Amino acid sequence: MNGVERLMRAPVAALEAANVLLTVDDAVIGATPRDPVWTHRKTTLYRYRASDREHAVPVLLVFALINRPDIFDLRPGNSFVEFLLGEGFDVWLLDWGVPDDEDRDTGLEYYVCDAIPWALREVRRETGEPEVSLVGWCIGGAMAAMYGALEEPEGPVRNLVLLTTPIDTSGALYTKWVGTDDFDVDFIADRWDAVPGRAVDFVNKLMKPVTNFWTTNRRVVQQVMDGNSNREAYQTMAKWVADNPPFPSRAYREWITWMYKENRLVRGRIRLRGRTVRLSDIDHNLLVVTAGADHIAPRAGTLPVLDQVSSADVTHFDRPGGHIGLMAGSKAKNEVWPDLAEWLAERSGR
Amino acid sequence: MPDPERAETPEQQVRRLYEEAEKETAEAMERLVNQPSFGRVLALMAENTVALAKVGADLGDLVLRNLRIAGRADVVKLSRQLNRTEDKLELVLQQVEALRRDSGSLPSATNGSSKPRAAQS
Repeated sequence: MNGVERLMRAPVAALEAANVLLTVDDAVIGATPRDPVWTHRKTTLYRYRASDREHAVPVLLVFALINRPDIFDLRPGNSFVEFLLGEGFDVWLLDWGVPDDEDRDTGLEYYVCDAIPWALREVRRETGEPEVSLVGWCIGGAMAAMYGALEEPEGPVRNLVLLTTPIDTSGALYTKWVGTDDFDVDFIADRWDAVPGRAVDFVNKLMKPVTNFWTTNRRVVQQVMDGNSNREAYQTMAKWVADNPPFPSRAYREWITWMYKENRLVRGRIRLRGRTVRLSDIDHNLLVVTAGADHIAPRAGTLPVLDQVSSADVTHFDRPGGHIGLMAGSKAKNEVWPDLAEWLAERSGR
Repeated sequence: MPDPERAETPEQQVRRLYEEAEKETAEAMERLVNQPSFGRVLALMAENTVALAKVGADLGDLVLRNLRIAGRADVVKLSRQLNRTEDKLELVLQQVEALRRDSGSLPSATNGSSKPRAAQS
C-alpha cells in the first residue's frame, strides 16, 4: 500500500478503529459452559461441563481480587479452561464475584479460611474424589499459598500451583508506592467500604503509564491501518482489563499492610484465625510459575517460596512474558499451558 | 551493500522515529514512577480523591434521606443483614454435614479421609 492509498484509507480506518474501541463491551468472554454448584455471599463455585474427564484429581482455579476470573477462560480458542478440559481435567472455578459496600468486613481470613476450604469441600462432595489440585494466580496464588500453609496434613489439596504470585514484596514497585508511611491505607479503608476497582486499576496502569494509557490504543489504530488487526483478541482482553470489581476495605487494608508495608508472608508473620501462616508448612506437590517481564509480581519476589516450602516435589517454570500475558497471551497456548497440563497430569492419578 | 536506512520510505522513517520516541518516553515515565517522590504524590492524590468521594457520597445520602428515599446506606444495611443470614445458613449446612458424618451417612470423599500427601507424588 503506497502513501496515497494509505491516506485514502485513513478515514475508513479511523472509523474502524473507533468501532473496535467503542464496542469492547460487546466482546464475549468466559464463554465455556459451566454450572454454579455452590454460592456464599458474592462467592460462586462453578464446574465446567466436560464430555471426557480422564484425570481423577479435579482442578480448582482461584484468581485475584482485583480483576474477574474470566481471564482463565478469555475466548474460545484462547482459553486455559478450554485447554484443560481438552486435556481431560475436571475444571472448577472459584469466582469471588463483585463485592460492594456491604462486604466491607470481608477480610483475607474469609477467602483463605472459609471460602477456599468450603469450595474444596463442595468439589470433593460433587466429584467423590478425596483430593484436588489448587491453582492460584496473583493474589489468588498468595491466598492459595496461605491456605496450603494452614491446611492439615490430611487436607484435600494434593497439588498446589502458584502462577505469578507475590510472596516477598521487598523489591516491588508497589512497595515504593504503598509500603511507605506516606501512604495511609487506614485513611482510605476507613472512608471507602469497598475500594473501587477502577481506582486500583488506575494505579496498576500507572506502573507503565505510556504503555497502558497510550501505546495499547495507538497500536489498535495502527493495526487497523495496516489491515492486520485482531479485533476479537484486543476486545476480549480490553474488556477483561476494564472489568475491575471493588476490593472490600478490610481485605484491602490487610493486603496492603501485611504484604507491602510489613512484608509478612515471606517472614511467616501473617496470622489468620489465630494460626500463623508459615510457608515452611507447605508440603504439597508444588509448581511455581514466574514471568520474566512481570512488573506486578516480579520473579525475584516469587522465588523465595521455593526456599521456604518443605515439599519434596517442587517444580519451577520460568517463562518470558508479563504478569497476565504469561497465561493469557497468544503464546501461552503453546509455550505454557502444555507444560502446566503435563505437570498436573503426572500428579493427578488415583 | 545498500544502507538499510536509505531503503526506508519516508513513511517508514516517520513510523520508526515515532516508535523510538514513544519507547524512550515510556522508559522515562517508568523511571519517573519509580521515584519515591512519585509515591508521595500518589499517596496525596489518593487521599484527596477518597476524601472528595466521601464528601460527595455523604452529601448525596443526606439529600435522599431528607427526601425520605432509601439511600445507599440503607441498601448497604439491608445487604449486610442478608450476608449475616447467608453466613448462618452456611453454618447450618456445616452442622448438618457434621451430623451426617457422625451418623455415617456421608460419603467418605467429604469427610477428610484423604491419604497423606507424602505418599502420592
